[in-house]
Amino acid sequence: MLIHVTSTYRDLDETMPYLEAIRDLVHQSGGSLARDWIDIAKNKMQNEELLRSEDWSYVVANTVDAIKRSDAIIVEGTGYGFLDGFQVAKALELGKPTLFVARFNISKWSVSGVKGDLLECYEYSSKSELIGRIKEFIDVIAQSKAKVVVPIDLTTFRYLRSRAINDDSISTELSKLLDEACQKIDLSNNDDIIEL
Amino acid sequence: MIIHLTGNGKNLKRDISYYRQIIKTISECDGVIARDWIESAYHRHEADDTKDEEVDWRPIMEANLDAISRSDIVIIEATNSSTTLGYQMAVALQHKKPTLLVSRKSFKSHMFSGLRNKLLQLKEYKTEADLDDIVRKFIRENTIATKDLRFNMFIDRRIYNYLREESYLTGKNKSEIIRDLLEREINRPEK
Repeated sequence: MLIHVTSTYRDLDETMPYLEAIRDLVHQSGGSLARDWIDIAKNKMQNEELLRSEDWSYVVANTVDAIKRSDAIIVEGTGYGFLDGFQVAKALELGKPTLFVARFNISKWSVSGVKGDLLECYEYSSKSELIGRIKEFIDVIAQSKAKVVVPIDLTTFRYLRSRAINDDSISTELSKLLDEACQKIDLSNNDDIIEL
Repeated sequence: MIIHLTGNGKNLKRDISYYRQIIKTISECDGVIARDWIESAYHRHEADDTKDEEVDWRPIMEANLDAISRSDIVIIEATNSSTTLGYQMAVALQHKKPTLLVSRKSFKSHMFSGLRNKLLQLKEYKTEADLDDIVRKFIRENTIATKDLRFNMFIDRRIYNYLREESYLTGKNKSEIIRDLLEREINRPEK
């Protein structure tokens, strides 16, 4: 599970403990950050010269790439950064579940007008509140099923139906067949569940 | 030409003259504002009767997104950048709208100066006269006659054969087939 965690550089020293908590939680859940920029940013915060000489086009290109690769996006939006909004729109365009968390009353800010079936906004005031919500979000992502639409011809359909005759479920039979295939090619760790 | 002008209303008392300059330039270039929010927001700030925190932002954002989809081009005043402006910019680019971002602050220290998109222009300005020049140039660059445009296209025999066959099968003329292909490409989400 790949998660992209993002935040603006504005007031990053205040947000840093919360970002570190999110990162730790992602790791504890067996996930990884799509772009692990948090420690790099922490070092740069202590050296303004480094921050001024930052190649932003490289950073933005990597950020967009991280969104594309991710299973989900978490935006710490307290700094109300321009690029936070850009990343939310990009994530929603690409169909990525997105969680926007902030330490302000989101409903009173213009960002509350941003809508999307895959977007959730959450206001928190303490680290424990944040951790609880992030854990919930990550659990849902980790449990979500991967759905693959497989066009098949009539011969294949008849074959699967005949194999599935006992429990009348083609998708179950197909899962079994895929399990067998995975074991043969040693891909048994694959968590994806195929639905037909 | 329909133009969506957006910005952060936070310091509107200070910024109103710049917004008015943009509107003046737009109207001098025969443009039309897609959503005229500035004067009403300014009067709200002047009267101080409704604070930003009391505003229902959902219909406003909906109106902004609708304005973006109706517009030919988008202009964003980003001196006070915000999450919502970044969101609107991304949506404008997703809709393939030429977008101009203007700011009185230097872009250098901002992460969004790293955005690379052929449809996006970032311009810094100091005075209203600068702003007039920038907006005028941007509108001029993106003014396309509304009447049907025409151009010559060179194709090889393979493409010609494909078009002829498609034309025969669908009953459409060759230009329609090419236009349909282009429409599909324009509407295809970026991956």
